[in-house]
Amino acid sequence: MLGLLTSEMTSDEALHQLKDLPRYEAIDYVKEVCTGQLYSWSGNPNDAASKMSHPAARKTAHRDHIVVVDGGVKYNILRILHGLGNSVVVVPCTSSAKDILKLKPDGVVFSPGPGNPALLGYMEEAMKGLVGQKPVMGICLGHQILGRAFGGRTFKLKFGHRGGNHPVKDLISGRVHITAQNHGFAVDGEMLKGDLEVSHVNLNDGTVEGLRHKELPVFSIQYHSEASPGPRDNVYMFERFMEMVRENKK
Amino acid sequence: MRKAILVLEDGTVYEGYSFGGESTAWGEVVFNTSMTGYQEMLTDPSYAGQIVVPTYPLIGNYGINEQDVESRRIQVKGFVIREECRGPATGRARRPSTSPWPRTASPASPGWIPEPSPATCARPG
Repeated sequence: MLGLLTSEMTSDEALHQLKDLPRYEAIDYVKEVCTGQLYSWSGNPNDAASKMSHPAARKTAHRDHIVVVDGGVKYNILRILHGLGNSVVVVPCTSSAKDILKLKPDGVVFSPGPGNPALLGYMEEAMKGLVGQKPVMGICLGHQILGRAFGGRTFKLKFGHRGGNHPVKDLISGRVHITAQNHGFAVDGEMLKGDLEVSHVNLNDGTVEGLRHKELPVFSIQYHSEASPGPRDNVYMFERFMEMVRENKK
Repeated sequence: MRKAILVLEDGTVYEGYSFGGESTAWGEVVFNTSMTGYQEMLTDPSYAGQIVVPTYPLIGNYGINEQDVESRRIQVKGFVIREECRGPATGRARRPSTSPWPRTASPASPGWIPEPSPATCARPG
């Protein structure tokens, strides 16, 4: 629901203005928050106590080259990928599959981000061009983009999932993970085409929380494996992706 | 402190006081049930276009630090809290301010603490 927060207007004025505002779900916020140009993440010198640094990986030289498509990326995703020993480059949300492939990535991560995934046809196209070419991981918005690229519908949840204790069941292992979440939209698993299948569900309301491809090195999660804030239990998802990347290079 | 109101499109009005910016902001009003992580929430780009209401009642109790920033600026349009902690207590805090809102920044450093956006914040009286 839209709201207006003000220290300048009366409630009548605020209500009047609210009637004229565009709908939240009609605005492409991704273009507002994403980087305008490519940059590489070299770690943060002020961040020696990086919350997610991976002690085992830090000593090794950079192994793999990961391109992160910025739909509104959180630094902790970059911190973790870098901490796992990768060179990390972040590209604008409008980058095409061709732009991304030119960077010769070993793997591509589609980041989280704000707003309605149905407005992001340009990211969907990039996703379609990359699946099958490179290992792909989608997080949150990136997960919704993957679902849409495979014919899935996305819809707005009544309240959304925002918090640090959402139980998610991994349908393959049967294990339940406590996850950090922040999403107002979800993928409807019913219309998925191709070899994409639902891999995780939310135990509170049964909505889709993860997808994976049956053949290709492609998967996504609706929740936040980077935590921050939230439980760190799911950082292993990045390790799983790196295994995929290394397997794919063989 | 100036009075502030949160008005929902269904006509509901909540009265409070502004802390942080004194202005007007609109967005989708959402709640977050995490008990910690207000700095990450404030700087998470996924909250673009939203006014965030943490359900945890006390905000600011561990200040603002250089490690927990998730993007280069405050992303929420507004932040609505129950109680603002005026004396944060933690060794990690770099901003033992009377408000969780950082007041200075040095954008040259990758670990810089973001400036508040024009967002308005409110707490109940």
